[in-house]
Amino acid sequence: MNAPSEATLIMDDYQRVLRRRVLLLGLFLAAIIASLVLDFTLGPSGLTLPDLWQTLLHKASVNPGQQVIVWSIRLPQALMAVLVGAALGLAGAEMQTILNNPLASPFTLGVSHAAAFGAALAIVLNLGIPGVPDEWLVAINAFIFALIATLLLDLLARWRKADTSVVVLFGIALGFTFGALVSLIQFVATEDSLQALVFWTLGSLARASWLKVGLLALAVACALPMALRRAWQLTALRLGEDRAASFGIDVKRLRLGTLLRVSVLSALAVAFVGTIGFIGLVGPHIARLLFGEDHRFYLPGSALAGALILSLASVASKNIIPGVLIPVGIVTSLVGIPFFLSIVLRRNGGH
Amino acid sequence: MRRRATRFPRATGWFAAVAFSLFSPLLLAQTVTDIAGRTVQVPDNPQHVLLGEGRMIYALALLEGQQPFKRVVGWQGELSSVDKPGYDAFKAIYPAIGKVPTIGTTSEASVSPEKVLALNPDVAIFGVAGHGPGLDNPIVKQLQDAGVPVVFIDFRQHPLQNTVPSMRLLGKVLHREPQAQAYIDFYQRHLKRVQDVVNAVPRDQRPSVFIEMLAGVGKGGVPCCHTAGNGNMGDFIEAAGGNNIAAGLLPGVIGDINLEKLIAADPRFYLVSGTRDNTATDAGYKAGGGVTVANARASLQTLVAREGINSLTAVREGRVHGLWHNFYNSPLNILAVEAMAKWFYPQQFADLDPQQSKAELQKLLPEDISGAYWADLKATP
Repeated sequence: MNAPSEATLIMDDYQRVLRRRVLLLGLFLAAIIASLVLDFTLGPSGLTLPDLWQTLLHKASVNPGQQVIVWSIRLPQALMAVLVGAALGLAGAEMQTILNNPLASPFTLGVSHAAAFGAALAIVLNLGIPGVPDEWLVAINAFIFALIATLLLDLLARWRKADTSVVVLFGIALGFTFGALVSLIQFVATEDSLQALVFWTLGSLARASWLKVGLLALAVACALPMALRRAWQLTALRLGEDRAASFGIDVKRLRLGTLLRVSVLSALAVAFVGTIGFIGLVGPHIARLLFGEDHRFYLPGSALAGALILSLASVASKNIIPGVLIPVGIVTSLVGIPFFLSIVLRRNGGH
Repeated sequence: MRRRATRFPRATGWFAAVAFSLFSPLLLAQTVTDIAGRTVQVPDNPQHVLLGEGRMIYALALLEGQQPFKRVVGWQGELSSVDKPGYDAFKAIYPAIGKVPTIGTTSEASVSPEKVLALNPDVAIFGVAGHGPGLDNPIVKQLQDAGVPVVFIDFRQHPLQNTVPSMRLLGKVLHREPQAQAYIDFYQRHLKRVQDVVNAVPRDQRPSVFIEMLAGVGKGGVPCCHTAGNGNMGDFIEAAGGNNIAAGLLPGVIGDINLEKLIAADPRFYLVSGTRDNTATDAGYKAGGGVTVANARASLQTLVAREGINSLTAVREGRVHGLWHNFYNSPLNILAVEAMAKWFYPQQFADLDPQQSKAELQKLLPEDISGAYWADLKATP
């Protein structure tokens, strides 16, 4: 008589935890929508809500300046912030799981630095794929090098039979190498190209366009369901490689497939907006704190946390100094560092 | 590294000074106050001059007659990359320009102190800011310790305030005071003419102006709105009677404003600056030596077609003009002020002809400065 009631108790408990997590995801979503609206409505031109509304509904009825502000500046930038944040958050979460390392992220494992190197080649030395139009040269270069960096990580994972700590160390070395190469290019750069490069590496949402928003949205829309389909396997992997293998999971294949997905996501995000640190690192940590290791919640939670942070950073970057757009990469790091530290220190305190 | 030959502490007294002067022309003969407010003892009529920035050669050209390079023992190597047409113009009068030793490439960080000291200059001329060693650079102290006086000039940070004192200082240091005075007279006469008109215009009646510096060159960078607030090219706008919309926005001299802010402010005049040469294929405004007006105008047309910029009233109504970017760091900056004044107040300055001023300047300069240093989007009938 005791046993069934205990089972129901456990089931009830589980249901309550699930409900709580679903509710939390919903809260995150609501916060993102609120931040998106805030990002859209706040700006140096001081357009009023009715103005914005009218421009959204009847584009042709307002002056061209207002059209550009709403349709070419505010909307794509606000959406880009959410999408880049989600992409980096998801990429970081998957990276941390498959590499079994809480410090793994596109930023710490050299993907961002590789992208910056690709961008530097285009901006300073004008090197790129022939035939690519000027406005895409930098983004495509950055994408290619970010992809090369992750594929190198991937290759090493295969070659070393996926020894995760070696992959992480290799990623860090990769970051330093590309960082040094970027500095070398900066050293020979002229004033205008140096400035363009520095701005690129600071990360900016001002480069957003509808095409880029669309491409990134497509990538996130493909990657998130794919990741969620592997959620159980990834959760099992958190119990340890041997345990996961004993469940019948092909750990190596899981790892490589995930790395490939991560490389496309982070390469696209970094190529479009430049180096934005910490999202890929902090997003997963917030998600783990709130949702635990259950990847059905941890993965979307991490994407949503990333999206929320970057969207808020975008609001801040526009409004700290009115009229001046502080590169969002700077704001993100400044917001991200205290956040990150508070989480890490709280964890240590708990032990 | 220590160079005793030129080190000459005051304590040694005039006795030794006289004795020393028998052997060396490098007597620390005069004391000058430089633009940074430092008091510097410089040798009398130095023959070995080091330039902290390549573009300082424009100032030397105004003073040194036909031989601007005669006393230059070394310079920063940025001229060939940031001002190719200018470099070529100087090369035409001094073919060995490529052999002038360089102390670095284009940035302050690239300057090698060892190279600087090895060139044995009698005096080093640095800019308070820019592409060469600045005020806080350790090279300044190293040079002073080695007995090489460092004199700071400025055509860049506060061009209108510092051009005349900088030229006067250079004239004094290089023993070219008459030449310096000739240019200062020219400069002050022309500036006064603009200011007499502009000062009479109340602040609230001045047209709003925005200048996008190096427009369109930030390939992967932020697509728009690199500009100057108080200082740099913002000073030209102010002097020419424009109301620089970035002046109240930027915390520093140079920075980027939000494209949205530019569209919302919708300035009466939209200006760009650029350094592309006549045959360049990269995006950016073409200006400077050898650039044709047609090419300058074509490059302007490409720039104003960019999204956001094309929605500005100034663009639609044709109040768009371009300027040679290097005016921001050159004693020739008076031409930029005149050109702007004429754009902003065409009626009041109907009889002002900046091209005529440029022709007058050409007489003071050994190098050829023909070419479109400024241009209008719309051809004037």
